[in-house]
Amino acid sequence: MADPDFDPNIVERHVRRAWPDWTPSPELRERVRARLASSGAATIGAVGLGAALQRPNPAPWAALLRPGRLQALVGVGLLGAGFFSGYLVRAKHEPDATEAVVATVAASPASAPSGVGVSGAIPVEEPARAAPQSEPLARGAPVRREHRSAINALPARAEQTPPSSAPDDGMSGELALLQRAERATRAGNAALALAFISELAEKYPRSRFLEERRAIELLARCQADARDASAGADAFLREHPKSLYAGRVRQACQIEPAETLPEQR
Amino acid sequence: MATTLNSCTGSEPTPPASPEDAALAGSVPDASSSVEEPAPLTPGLDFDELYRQHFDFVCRSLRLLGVARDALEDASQDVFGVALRRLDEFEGKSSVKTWIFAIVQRVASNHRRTERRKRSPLEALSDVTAALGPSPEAAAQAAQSAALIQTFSDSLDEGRRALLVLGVIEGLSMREVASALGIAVPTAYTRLRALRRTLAQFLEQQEQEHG
Repeated sequence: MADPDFDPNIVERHVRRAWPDWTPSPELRERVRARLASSGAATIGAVGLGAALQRPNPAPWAALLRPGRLQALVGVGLLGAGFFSGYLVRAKHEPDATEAVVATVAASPASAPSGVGVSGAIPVEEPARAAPQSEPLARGAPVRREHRSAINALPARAEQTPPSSAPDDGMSGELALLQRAERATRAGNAALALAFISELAEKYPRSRFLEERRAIELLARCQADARDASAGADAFLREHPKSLYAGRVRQACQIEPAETLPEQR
Repeated sequence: MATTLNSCTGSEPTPPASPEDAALAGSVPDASSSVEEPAPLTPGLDFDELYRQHFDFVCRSLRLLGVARDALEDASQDVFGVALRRLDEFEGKSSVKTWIFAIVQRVASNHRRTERRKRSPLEALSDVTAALGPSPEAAAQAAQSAALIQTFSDSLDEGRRALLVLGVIEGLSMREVASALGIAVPTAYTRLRALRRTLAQFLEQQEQEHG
């Protein structure tokens, strides 16, 4: 029933009129979709730049949501996006590594840690291991502080499982440990990071991720002001001048970019 | 005409029409005349479908809850990022729309806090002039009406702001609105009627003052 005190159509009129202003553009819709897809893809590492983005289906996350698979995928996606991007670049030259990651993830959901979402590509840290927002992220996987806050604000989630210690948990177990180490460096907890690195060295003496492991170790050692950290960083930068971690290593170890140029050595 | 309020056409805005017209015009909607919802999504739902159906709704709601236009991309990504992460927790006890709206509220709250720190009050005004539309006049009108409703929305507390979005703008059924707000259906009717009346008075006053 209309209220005689006011124009019964005025609200409707303004809502109708405002509607175009509230309606997102198709470009925005696609940009957000692409960002979500990229972050989901980055979560599962190599899949992101490989099969997932090549699907004709515009929503590659759909395949990630099959029962039992999501948990596994997000677990393996624990590595920070910036960290993962390094592996992705290397994976282009090592397609078997990409397939191995996917196969391992799909085959061993139980080994994936819980408590981290698909946005795990995005560093979704708990407060104690918060990452600086300025850390490099994988392209297309921007994750934001507000996102983390929103996630934290939502109802309780499962506690993160302790580091996997099963010797047969394969690449996903190694990646989970690497991710924890990397996150520890982001949170400034060098001792914890080095503990994870030691565990990695013990469990996985042969690895495809030695560059990542070494970079994280250097980050942690430099954070801890270890005596020989600088020399180690110099060596790392000489051996991997184009490493995606070079910037972070230089920053953490306070090494000027010019020092890493081979011709100056 | 049945209206898909959460149409996802993107380029073709779909303003509300009847039966929501009656509700928007001020009459108390009958419980049986709930807004036609898209096909209900069930637990285990397809995220792509959820995104397709609710992207516009999420963007509208974020705007009305105070997220600036230039933060919409980040905020909507946040919403769907959380939704994606929480998808398996959706139990179907509420509608998908109100479930997403709860996420929208949290994300918007976080964004508002951030925006307040980053932006000056004058910067927010630039949003008003950036409206899209088929013509400059239509765009200006759209921006003006959106700004007016936004101003009204900004003056509300959280509960009434949610009521504005769900009950007035989106035209959800009173049952859904009441469920989302955690209040009884008759209470939702009463509050919605009062809110609509206040909004109408505000708009009338603005029209008189600014032509």
